[in-house]
Amino acid sequence: MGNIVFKHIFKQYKGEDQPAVRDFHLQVEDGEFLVLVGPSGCGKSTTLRMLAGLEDITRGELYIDGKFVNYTSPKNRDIAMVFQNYALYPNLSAYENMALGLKLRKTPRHDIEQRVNRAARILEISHLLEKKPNQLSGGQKQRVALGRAIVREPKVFLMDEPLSNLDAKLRAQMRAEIIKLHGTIRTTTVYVTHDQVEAMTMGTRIVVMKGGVIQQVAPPRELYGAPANLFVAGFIGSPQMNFLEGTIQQRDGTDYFANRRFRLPVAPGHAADLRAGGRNLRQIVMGIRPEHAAILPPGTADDDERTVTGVVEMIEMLGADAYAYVKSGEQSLIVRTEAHTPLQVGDPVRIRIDMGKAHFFDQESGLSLRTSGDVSE
Amino acid sequence: MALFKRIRKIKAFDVFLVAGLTALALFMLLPIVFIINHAFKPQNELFLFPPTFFVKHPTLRSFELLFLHAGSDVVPFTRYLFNSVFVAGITLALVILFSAMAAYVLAKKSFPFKSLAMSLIMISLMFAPETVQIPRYLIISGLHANNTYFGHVLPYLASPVAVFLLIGFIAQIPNELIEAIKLDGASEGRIFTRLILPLSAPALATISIFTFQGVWTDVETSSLFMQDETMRTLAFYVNSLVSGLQNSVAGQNMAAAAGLLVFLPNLIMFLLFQRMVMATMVHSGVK
Ligand SMILES: Nc1ncnc2c1ncn2[C@@H]1O[C@H](COP(=O)(O)OP(=O)(O)OP(=O)(O)O)[C@@H](O)[C@H]1O
Ligand SMILES: [Mg+2]
Repeated sequence: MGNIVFKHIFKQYKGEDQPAVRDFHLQVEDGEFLVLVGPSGCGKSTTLRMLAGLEDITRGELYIDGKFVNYTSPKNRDIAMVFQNYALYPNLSAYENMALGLKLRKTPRHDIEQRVNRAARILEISHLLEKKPNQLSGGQKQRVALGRAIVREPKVFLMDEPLSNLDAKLRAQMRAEIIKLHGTIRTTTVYVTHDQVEAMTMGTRIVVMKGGVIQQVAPPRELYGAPANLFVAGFIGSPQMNFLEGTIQQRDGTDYFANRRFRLPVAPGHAADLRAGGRNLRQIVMGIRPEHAAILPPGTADDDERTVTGVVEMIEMLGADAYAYVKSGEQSLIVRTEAHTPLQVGDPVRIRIDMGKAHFFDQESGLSLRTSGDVSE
Repeated sequence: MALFKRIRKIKAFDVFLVAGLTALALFMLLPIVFIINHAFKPQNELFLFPPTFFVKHPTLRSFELLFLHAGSDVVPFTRYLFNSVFVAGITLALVILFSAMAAYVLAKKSFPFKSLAMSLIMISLMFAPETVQIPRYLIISGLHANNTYFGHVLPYLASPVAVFLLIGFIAQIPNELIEAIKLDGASEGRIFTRLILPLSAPALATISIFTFQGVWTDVETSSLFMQDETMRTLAFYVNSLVSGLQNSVAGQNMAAAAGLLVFLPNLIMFLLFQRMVMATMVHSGVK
């Protein structure tokens, strides 16, 4: 069984003044597909390499399957890793590449044959087994690299951006295949990527990191629906969540999110959250996803308080949807609309915001002010 | 039609390049052609003036003379041959092993005083062999390695050129490969034999060629460290033969035959390994 426990793990590279990973504290359950995601240099690879035993752990404790492994050498951790550049042994055939790990572990020959052939069947590379890595395409190499990992039947799979050398179409295909593979063999997997789409589609749980620090750990839906801070809110989702700065004001018993240009009534459910615990309500960032704002058809009665006015700056066509970039004073807002919208660049528009779906953050700390989930207006 | 198109694609510069390089290659080939022809010349052709390149009436007389002469000596010819083959074989194997191990550590590991170690190797590159003859002698006799095969092998074991060549080569092996094989369960020894050695094959081939040439044609160890005639090598024997018989007429025959015999293994080594030298296999597995 491959559960992993990280206990307050730090990594300090020699000669660096900041730790690359800081207080990484997390428990990974057996069979999970955990994705580490974050911008370049945030410490994802470092974390993975500490897990693999390729980097020393500066401070903290690491357990795999209940065993303390800080000082265990990589070969004794019972893990397999898939590298970004495949790292296939260039002098060995695809078959030998997959078999070497078993051979080094003195697995009986017929057992090796059986396991390699089974893995090759699963990955549909049976016809490529005799080929050397330089005779394989990128996608095929990646399959062999995956095969090399699965024949070992390890406790944990580690993958460090395994798809980033593939072109977009192949990447989507391999993504689906890795998910399928995980569905079949159910081995605990820790997967590193900087691509949030990959993270959202693959992970059963996602760890968002920044500057060596965990920002949030949550399943994809929760990460998207209830980001813990401004960074996660901005990082997850494409196009980005819109951020508006303002304050919370009370008028006639109703709370409003207001700045110089607009005044939007806060949904009652949120108001309670905001009022709780004597927070500073003078510096608030409101976040709203493009799909939670809508451009009102011209001629709608303008008695709705939950609107913002602006001018269309640009329209981005994506096929089924389009995104309108609307300028409202200094503020730019992205709004999702239908693909065959009659909108033109330069049109004045009114945007209705679904305040029940809004997110509120403390501007200074960046932390979410929400304690409950989505609320109805 | 297709051929016609292909021909039209060839540029003038390519023609020039191929012609030029072919001419150069032919020119470089001349001494080899001469050595081979020379060994089969009958006596009268050896002394022709002007000397001829190609043999007109090939004969094995020179070899006959050489072997007859060797047979009449105290130490049989085969003993010299065995010494040479044995010493060259052992030296080659050990130079490859030691250089590759040193280079692997220097290229891929970090340890205290690493740059000092590198500089020392670098400095040792600067000494001409003649300057270290006396210290070498002192070391060999201090170790009581005179008249042993160890005395032949030892001076060659530390090969800074080989180490440097291999450091450059091994440094190019991606770290991911080493990490991958570590996770696959390899110990340091296995990493070395399963990954580093095979991936360094082209560099090892190059090292084999020049080390073999060095050892095979070397007379220094035989003349300085070996007082016992039975421990001396073929190169020494041929050398003494040729210089001892310089003025005799029969000497010219034997020199010609012996020259070919010493040269031939070099050629074979080269032909054996040059394919590997050309093959660069390191980068193919990555990307
Ligand atoms: N061997 C090393 N020595 C010193 N610093 C390092 C070393 N490896 C990584 N770092 C530093 O540690 C930090 C985290 O690096 P890491 O490779 O974990 O980032 P990452 O999240 O994997 O980024 P990317 O998405 O670009 O791969 C970076 O600031 C990097 O400069
Ligand atoms: Mg990385």
